[in-house]
Amino acid sequence: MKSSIAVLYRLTVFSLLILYASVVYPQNTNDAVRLGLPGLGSNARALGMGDSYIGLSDDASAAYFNPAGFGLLKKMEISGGLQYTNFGNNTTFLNQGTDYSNSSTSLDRLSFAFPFPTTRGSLVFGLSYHTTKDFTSTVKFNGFNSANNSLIQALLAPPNPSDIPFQLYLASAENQTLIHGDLNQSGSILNSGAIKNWTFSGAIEAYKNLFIGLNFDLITGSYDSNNQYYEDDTRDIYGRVDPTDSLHTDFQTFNLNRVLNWDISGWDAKFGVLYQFTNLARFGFTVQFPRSYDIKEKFTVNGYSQFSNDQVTLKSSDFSDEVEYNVWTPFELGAGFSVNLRGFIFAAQGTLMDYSQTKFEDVSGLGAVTVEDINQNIKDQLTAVFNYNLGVEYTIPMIGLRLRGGYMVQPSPYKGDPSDYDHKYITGGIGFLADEAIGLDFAIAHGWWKDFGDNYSFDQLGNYIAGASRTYQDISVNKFILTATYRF
Amino acid sequence: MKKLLLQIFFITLFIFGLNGCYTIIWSPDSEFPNQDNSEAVTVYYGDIYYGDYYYFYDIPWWYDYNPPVATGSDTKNRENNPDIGTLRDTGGRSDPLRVPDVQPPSRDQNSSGNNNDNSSSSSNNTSSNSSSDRGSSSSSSGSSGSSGSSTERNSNGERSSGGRK
Repeated sequence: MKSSIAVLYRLTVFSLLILYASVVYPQNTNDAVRLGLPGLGSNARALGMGDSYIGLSDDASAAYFNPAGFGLLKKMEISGGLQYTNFGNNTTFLNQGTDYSNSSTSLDRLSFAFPFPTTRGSLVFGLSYHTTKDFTSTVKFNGFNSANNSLIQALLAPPNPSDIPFQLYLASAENQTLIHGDLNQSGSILNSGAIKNWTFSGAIEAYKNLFIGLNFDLITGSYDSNNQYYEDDTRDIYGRVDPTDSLHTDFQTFNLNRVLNWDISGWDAKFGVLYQFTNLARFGFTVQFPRSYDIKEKFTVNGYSQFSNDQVTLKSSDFSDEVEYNVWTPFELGAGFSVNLRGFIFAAQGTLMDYSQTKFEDVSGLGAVTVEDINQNIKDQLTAVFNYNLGVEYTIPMIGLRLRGGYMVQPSPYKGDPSDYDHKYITGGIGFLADEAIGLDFAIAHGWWKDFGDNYSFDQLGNYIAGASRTYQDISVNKFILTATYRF
Repeated sequence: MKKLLLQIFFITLFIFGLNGCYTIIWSPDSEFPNQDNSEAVTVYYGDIYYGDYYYFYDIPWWYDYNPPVATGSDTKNRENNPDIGTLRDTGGRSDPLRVPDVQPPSRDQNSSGNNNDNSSSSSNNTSSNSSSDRGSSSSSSGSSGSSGSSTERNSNGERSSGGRK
């Protein structure tokens, strides 16, 4: 009962935000979540162990997990790999199911680590180019909405009615329309892009078996979202829909296409400590300083209305804009350990982050009031979460084969979401060593969670309608990483 | 943002500016570290349970690395070997500073006459070298070679036999 109330609360606030955001500004809490959610890293060994690597981190992927781990490297290392991600979304929309997927393949990481010769202790520097976040996702839906609402009507809702219906001869200059629902609604959202870091790392053994390290990241990346939405008069209910216009008759289709392009840059730093307790265990601790993302955003709106005797196209420039803003993600505090026992390595870690501390800053185009509204919404909707990861690895010494398994949970950052909305992953992997110098590792991760999205949540008068046009999504993600490591 | 940058700066300073840090980095003026002269690293992947991963993770690369020997830095032998030093003089300008090298080491103290003879002989030798420097004839070179030969005798203490002349 409690979780139901919480979900209802979230739906209400979220829907209000979606309407506000989709009509006036595209920036919203979703953007904060998108940038704040942790990625899956870029190391097959780590992913095979459920990314439980803060307390292990003894390769160049320490640039992502725990920079202190660089101090454990005793050989020079060149490593890199490829990743493949498949994002599947089984969407239920108005009791109609649709399966859709989106995938990407990319260079996952290229790293170099150099340990200085020492007569005691350790000093290691590293350079790494690696993917930290993958934005690949998708939604597709199709269903007949027999209720008396539609996006055309929602766009006319006060207090800030849009001119889009008027431009497309779907409403009069006084925002009156003859549309009253009963339309087939369909569409798709395709998201792609990634965040990649250039990471400069250094680690030193400050005391026997106590390593401390620091990363400095230069962030680059992009995010592209293409949202296609249609409302079709499949049952041939409508003739003219603008009560003041008699030229456009037999309304057939309304299309709205929203394209969001981000050019991402930024920087961040990460501090790590790792203590190795003889050959039995390692303990790690990390502080991820707030990431500064500079977003150069281009938001483009296209659309048209189709009548039997004409097609009217939206004047895109009236509804498109280019803005620039900064997003600061919150601190992340991580701690983990690994235990070494007769060929088995057991690892566990937890990470605490408070999404409600995410902040937008205006650079140009948003305005102070909008930024304050967004930041207030973030505080109202998001909460602190505790991510946790578990992993195990067993080495078969005679053949140099390693078998791995893991599990991780990234709780939903939205207040009151039930556990179904937590991102859960089960992982597995194998590793092989050749000539004491070349390591090959492969990992697979399967993730699953629920989510939902609203096309709109208001009627023409501005009254909130829960689930007016909602997609219920069962998401599954499969990710493969292949990593090759050469030590010399 | 300034506050954050300051935090990161001080942490960096703390990490890499620690006095009395445990780690000792090899420097070119010290012996290259190897298994014998450096402190043993803590092994995490013992070969009993991890096989070759022990070498992959726990053996520093510098244990197997033989640094190249620097040339031109060892001048001790050359300075201490008068034979080589004298041979090197042949065919070139004489070095006044090397003149004392060719003087007899001991007999001078026993006889003033011998001392004179030796001085004379030494002077002759020097003269021969000067002649050789001018490149006048191959025989001058021969004199120089002879001079070298007598220098070798000097060093053997046989120069005294010349005093019988």
